[in-house]
Amino acid sequence: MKILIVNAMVPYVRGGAEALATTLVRQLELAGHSAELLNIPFQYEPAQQIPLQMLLVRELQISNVDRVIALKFPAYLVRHSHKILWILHQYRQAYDLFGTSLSNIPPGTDGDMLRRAIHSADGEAFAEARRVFGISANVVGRLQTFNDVKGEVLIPPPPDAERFLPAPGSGYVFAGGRVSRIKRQHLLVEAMAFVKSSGRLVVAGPPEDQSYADRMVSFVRDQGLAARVTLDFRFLTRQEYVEYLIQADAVAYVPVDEDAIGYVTMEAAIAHKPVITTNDSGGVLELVDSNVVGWVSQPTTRALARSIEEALRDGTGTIAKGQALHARWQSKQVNWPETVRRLLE
Amino acid sequence: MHHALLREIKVKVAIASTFVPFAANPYRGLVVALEEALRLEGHQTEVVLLPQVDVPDRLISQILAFRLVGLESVDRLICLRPQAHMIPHRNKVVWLLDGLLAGVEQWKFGGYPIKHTRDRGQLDAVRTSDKRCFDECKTVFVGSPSLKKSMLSVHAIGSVLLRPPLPVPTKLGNNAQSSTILCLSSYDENSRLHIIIQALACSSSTLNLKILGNRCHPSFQRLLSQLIIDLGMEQRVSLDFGPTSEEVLTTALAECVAVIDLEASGTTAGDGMIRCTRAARCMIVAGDGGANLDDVIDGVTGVVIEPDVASVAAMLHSLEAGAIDHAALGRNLHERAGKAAMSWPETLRQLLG
Repeated sequence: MKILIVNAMVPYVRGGAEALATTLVRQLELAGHSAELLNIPFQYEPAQQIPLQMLLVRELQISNVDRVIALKFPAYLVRHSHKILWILHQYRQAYDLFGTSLSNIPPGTDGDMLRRAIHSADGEAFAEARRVFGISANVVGRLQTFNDVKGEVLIPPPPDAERFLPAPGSGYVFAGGRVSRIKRQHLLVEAMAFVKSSGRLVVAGPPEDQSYADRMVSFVRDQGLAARVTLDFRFLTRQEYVEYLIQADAVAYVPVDEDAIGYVTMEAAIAHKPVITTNDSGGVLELVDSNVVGWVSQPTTRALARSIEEALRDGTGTIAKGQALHARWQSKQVNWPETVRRLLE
Repeated sequence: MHHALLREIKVKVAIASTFVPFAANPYRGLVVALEEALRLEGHQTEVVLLPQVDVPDRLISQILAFRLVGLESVDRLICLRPQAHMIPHRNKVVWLLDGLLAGVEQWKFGGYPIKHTRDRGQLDAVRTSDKRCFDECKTVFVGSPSLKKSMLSVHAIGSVLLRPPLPVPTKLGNNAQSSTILCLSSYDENSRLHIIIQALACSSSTLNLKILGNRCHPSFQRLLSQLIIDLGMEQRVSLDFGPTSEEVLTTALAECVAVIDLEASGTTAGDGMIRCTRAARCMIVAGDGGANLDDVIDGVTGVVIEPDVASVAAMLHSLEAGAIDHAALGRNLHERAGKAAMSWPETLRQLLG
């Protein structure tokens, strides 16, 4: 079959969604199909322009394609007679994030109209689709809650699991991936002011918002934490990222209500590294659901400091949690052949 | 000083182009090469590829979609395959390798004759949009002298000649024993495919003809199919109109003895010419071939013939008999184009300057 993967892209921003899209193309080809990727530019600022972006997607003309697999808003609004949705996330600022500081949709009549437009377009796209999958129970739950759509959970396997071979810890907690307010790396950095252990925290990845990154740099400097906190704010090569992760004692991932388990969490599990997270981190908790496989705390600097402290001090316990997380991941039997089969069945 | 300074300034560049999924087009290779060249010079580069169809009834909504693309976060926009030039940007250039099929010439393909006021209105709207969007550009670059002429005469758009740096052919294949002549691109009666088929049937040559094209006027396609049956040429002529993958095209080029394009008075060098040049294959064109004669000099970089059955049949006989050194002609075509093209650093200086 000729299968077109349709995704939305913000120029120069690369993250899990982009990795999933390119991996899916490769996996479909490995399964004997022809696959190609369409990345539709999306600007979510200013919010008032979002309906025009939705219209853009609706007006694109797709030809010479047997199936479309669309991944996220507004890409999944694309028209095709055989469209499958594998939803990474909706435009959450119009749903669960509305009314919080993380939403760019203003309160009041204009904001309400914008939200209605997004909800309505989403509803139409879901109705057009042959099947609707979500990448986690969290995403599928939101579909049910906000759109009355019954989706199926289909967890995306990480793109290069074989690279995350377990290695001994080198005395640090690693927080990798895109650096942004919604990922809350600042909580981890600020927590280090309360950590007594000599171990380190390494935060590494490309900043989405430079002022947010600068805030952490200033904090580390002002608190004299430079010897114990490494801020490596740049786009890492895959190899650099892998090495940071597999040589860590534990991995920290504390996003606000993450859509999915998250590649960071999965990669940690594959590499036998326990995960430090918070009880409001959404999809992460589908894998890290107790202190048996990591540390789940309140999203406060004090609570996270205790988790980091324990991860760095309790060598044997930390290793045991990592092994338990690995076993839990294995039990889910997430793999690409099965994922492709379900998408196309 | 100016040159050196430009090299030091690193910008956010987006390359915008269009594609039909799973179908080859000559811009695909250019997108890859341009992206690599920009990255090598340290620019932050993003590629935006949008789907495109050449169906007149859908062109207006397609234009609307492209006008809504927001790339404000990008410093420079380089638009390649039409209708990418519709994307608005404060600092954009366009670089065309072939004509604006969608804008004008498309109306003669696919059974869309301009019969009704509505068709005329659509065509006028597309032309107006083309004009406006070209006017937005800082510069319109074109890949051939003939395209430069047609942009001026058809669209009243002034342009700058910028031939793409020629890639080293990567898949020449062994065509020493080949018995296939290849035809590429889009066809109507102007392509004179019927003459080639008739010549094949009446010549002593045993060569085969492979026709690959993105589209063909339906009535002409019926005529060709019937002609092939009438002449008993089913085993020697293959017709395949429809989106063709890059892999199929590359293989066909690697395995053919020559590429033939008898189109009369072409205003732009077509896909066949571009690919043939890259693949260093012998090109056979008509003496009234217009843009094809920009690069094909008879006996030096290809073969120029009269577009009649007898002349084509004689050429086929010579080709099969070894009287035409097709390998040398193909190499010469490639080398000539290579000399005319600039290096990537120089090309980038023009595009970003």
